[in-house]
Amino acid sequence: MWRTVLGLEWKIVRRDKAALGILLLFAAFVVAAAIAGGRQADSVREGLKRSQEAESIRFQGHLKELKRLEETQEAMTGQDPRDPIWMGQEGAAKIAILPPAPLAPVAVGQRDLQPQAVRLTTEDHLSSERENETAMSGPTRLMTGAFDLGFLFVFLFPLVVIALSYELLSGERERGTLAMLLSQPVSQRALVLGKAGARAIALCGVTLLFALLGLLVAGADISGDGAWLHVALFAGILVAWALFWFAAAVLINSFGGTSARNALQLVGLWLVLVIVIPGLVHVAVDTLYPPPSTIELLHEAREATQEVEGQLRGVEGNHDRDAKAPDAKEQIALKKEIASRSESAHEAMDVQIQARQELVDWLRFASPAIIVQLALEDVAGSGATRHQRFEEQVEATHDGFKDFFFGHVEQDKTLHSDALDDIPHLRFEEESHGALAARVLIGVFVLLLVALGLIVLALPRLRQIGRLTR
Amino acid sequence: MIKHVARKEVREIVRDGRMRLLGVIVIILALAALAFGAQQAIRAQEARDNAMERAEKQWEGQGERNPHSAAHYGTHVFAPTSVVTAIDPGVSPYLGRSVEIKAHKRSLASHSEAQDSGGSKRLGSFSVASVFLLLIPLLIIALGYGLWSRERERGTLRQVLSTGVKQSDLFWGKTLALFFVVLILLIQAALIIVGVLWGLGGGDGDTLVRLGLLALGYGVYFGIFAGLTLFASAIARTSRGALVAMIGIWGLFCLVTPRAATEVSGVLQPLPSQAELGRQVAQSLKTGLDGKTDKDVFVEAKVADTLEAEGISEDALEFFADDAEAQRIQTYKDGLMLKFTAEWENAIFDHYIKELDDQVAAQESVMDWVSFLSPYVAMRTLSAAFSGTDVAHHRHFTGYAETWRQGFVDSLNEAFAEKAGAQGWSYRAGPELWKNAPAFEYQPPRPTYGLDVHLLSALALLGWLLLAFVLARWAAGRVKVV
Repeated sequence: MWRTVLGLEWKIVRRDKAALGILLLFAAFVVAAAIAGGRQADSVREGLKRSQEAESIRFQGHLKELKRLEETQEAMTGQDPRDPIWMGQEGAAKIAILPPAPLAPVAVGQRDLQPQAVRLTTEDHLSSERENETAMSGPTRLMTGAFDLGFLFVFLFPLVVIALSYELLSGERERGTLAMLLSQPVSQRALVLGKAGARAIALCGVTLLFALLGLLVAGADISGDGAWLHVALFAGILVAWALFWFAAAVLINSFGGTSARNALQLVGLWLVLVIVIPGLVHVAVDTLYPPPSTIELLHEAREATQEVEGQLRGVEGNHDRDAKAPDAKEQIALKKEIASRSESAHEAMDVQIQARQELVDWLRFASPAIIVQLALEDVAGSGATRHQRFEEQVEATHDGFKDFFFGHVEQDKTLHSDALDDIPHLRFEEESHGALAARVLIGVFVLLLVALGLIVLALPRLRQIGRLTR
Repeated sequence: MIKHVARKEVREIVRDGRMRLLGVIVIILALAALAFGAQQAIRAQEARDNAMERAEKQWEGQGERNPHSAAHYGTHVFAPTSVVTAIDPGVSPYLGRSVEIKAHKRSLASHSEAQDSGGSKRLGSFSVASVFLLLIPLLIIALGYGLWSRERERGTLRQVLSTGVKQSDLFWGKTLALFFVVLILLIQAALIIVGVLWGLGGGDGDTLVRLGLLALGYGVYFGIFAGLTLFASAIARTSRGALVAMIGIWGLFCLVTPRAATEVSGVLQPLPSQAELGRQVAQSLKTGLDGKTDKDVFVEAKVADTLEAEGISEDALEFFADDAEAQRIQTYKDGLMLKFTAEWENAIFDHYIKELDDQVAAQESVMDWVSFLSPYVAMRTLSAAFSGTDVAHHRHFTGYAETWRQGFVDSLNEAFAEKAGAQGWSYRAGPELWKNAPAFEYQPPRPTYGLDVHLLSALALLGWLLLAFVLARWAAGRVKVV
């Protein structure tokens, strides 16, 4: 019987111009969003490529120059690749890159707010060394957010489900066909679930098909390492999210209200889960753990090191040709002093960021929309966890980078051509597939569990046949 | 008759417990958003005051040093905050809050709140403006979708019209009823908002004008949704159809169009990368905006011209080679070099930053035109503009900050040229000079500044109101009785 209802409903969906129109319009949006997301990912990728190419050319130049200087033994000049001070500050700056994930076009996420690459130098703090080859985004664009698949699935997808399901039962009643249908050997439960099932299959099928097509057009790398796992997780989130909304529609329909009332209630639920609760979570996070201000950090570092920094800047602003810079060891000592005095401020900031992120991780369960949004960002490699991981690896590499150059200075060593390959650089280590899958699948599991709960709540009501007509 | 119709509609809406509940929930959300906004505004104000105080202390406590070295050490200035941001933070969380002030460099505003916030900013915003822009229109739709269609479905429309009531009276009655219910709900919220802002120190004339403009703008915005809802209710065959159509239109206006439009604005007016901008600036600093003038040649010629005009010959330097007077002249010459170098740099910074600002303004202008496709975009633009949290206000601030930077650096260079004398680069100035540096006294633009900049959005909003009203009135005359 289930199969019969499913089959009949499938025929109805195919002939229902309104349902088909909604599906096709949404499919068009899906492709457009994938392309827009791909455009942003390409822009980042191209920016990173330009930075890497510039670095490669710079290092080739250093290698050539070092070999020449090793032969000629010329005296040290201003911007000399043998000088570990200048090389650490500028000459041998290494770019640390967070590579775009295979499904980067899925969600821009944190990608337009957080640095995707950082220049490693011997500067104490790298906040001013973020990669800047990527085209800037206008403030209105940053505020509005991207038109990507993440937006489409979190915000519009539930509305499409609502449009396809708000009248599962009430529509039959209002059209006067419910009595006729129930006179057949079919239960009301099988009728509603069969109708919902057919629509869910149609919607998920069309959406996944067009999303994959869109991602391919947008340049997603589905042959990369773990790409198919990302695709599977993406599909899993989408299906679970669709099932949640169809289950909500089944429950609302089971109350026996009019189609208009069902639509209103479902839109109300959508509003609460997609707009209100995520906004309130943002409020809770900002209230409990206010964002650490980098301005405060700047001041604390500046005050703690005013005396030390003053000595450095005093030299910097002196255009007198006869002025003497402090010697290399003195500069390193000053830099280390600055680093140690501002260390507590950096640590406090890191602790606050960590606390905020942990709270967000917990509060995501306050709304399925947050679960979906964060899971999509994880799949797209633009989530907070991956960015946090990148920051930690950058910090560790930065310490090694500073030690390398400071060590040369402290041991009175100059840089040799064969030492260029020894300069510490970052090769970003991705989170294991298992850890990523576990985090996303917890969300999927919660969504499915809630969907099941909604269906269980609806079943007793669906057993009772209420009014057959308006 | 209009009064009777309106009274009956109001009574029906008020008697519907669900609508009452919905209204109360929306107002509670608006007030919760206000509380959060007020907390944020207080925190931002305190943070700014604290940051300015610390920057001032650092500047004045830098000890003795050469004035030009002090210009390199520099300071920071901070964007103003206003209590009106408690209503609409606009794009301000995505713009830098501070500008680094130092010699030889014009910095873009940095340290935006969004970058500091980490992962939570993308969860969504929760402000009075977002409640007004997104939720109140939905409330209006929920209140009004059945005003015509439900009467028809119940068969009461036929009865009412059979009593000789004119359809125009029915239209005005229903319109007034919707207007009255929304007004009653919002007037309470509006009074609380004014009270809270007053308590936060926003009782000045400028704030009241801004609040007045916001009230006017949102009134028009809600009127648009009321008109469109009445139109949909009149022409749809069923209440269900009217509701679904209006929710679809709401989604199109408030969700799809803004995001799609910002993507389009980015394609139509792409921005350069910071690195690209930096390369262009660096190149022009060497060879000028025309790409042909050597900086050193330009600066030296200007110095020579000035010295000549003041009757100081280069030969004098040779003549007084071992004399303190020669050192004083050399210092004066170095001061002039610094002055003309800054002049050269300023012209280049101004050119490129204006170009960048114009590109951002062009993106904003695309959004002004998109206001004709979505009243949400129009009102969002105006709401931020009236709250002083749009890009134009930010540009006004950064423009002042740069003018001040130039004056600040000039004053330090002049102090070096005039006071260093025979000591030359060994000269050290002290706290006296730091305290007498020009004060940063930024005055935000007048409250109607946003209206001047976004006149197109204001016109679009009024156009939408006219269209919605005409459609609603037209549909009321053609409403089907059965």
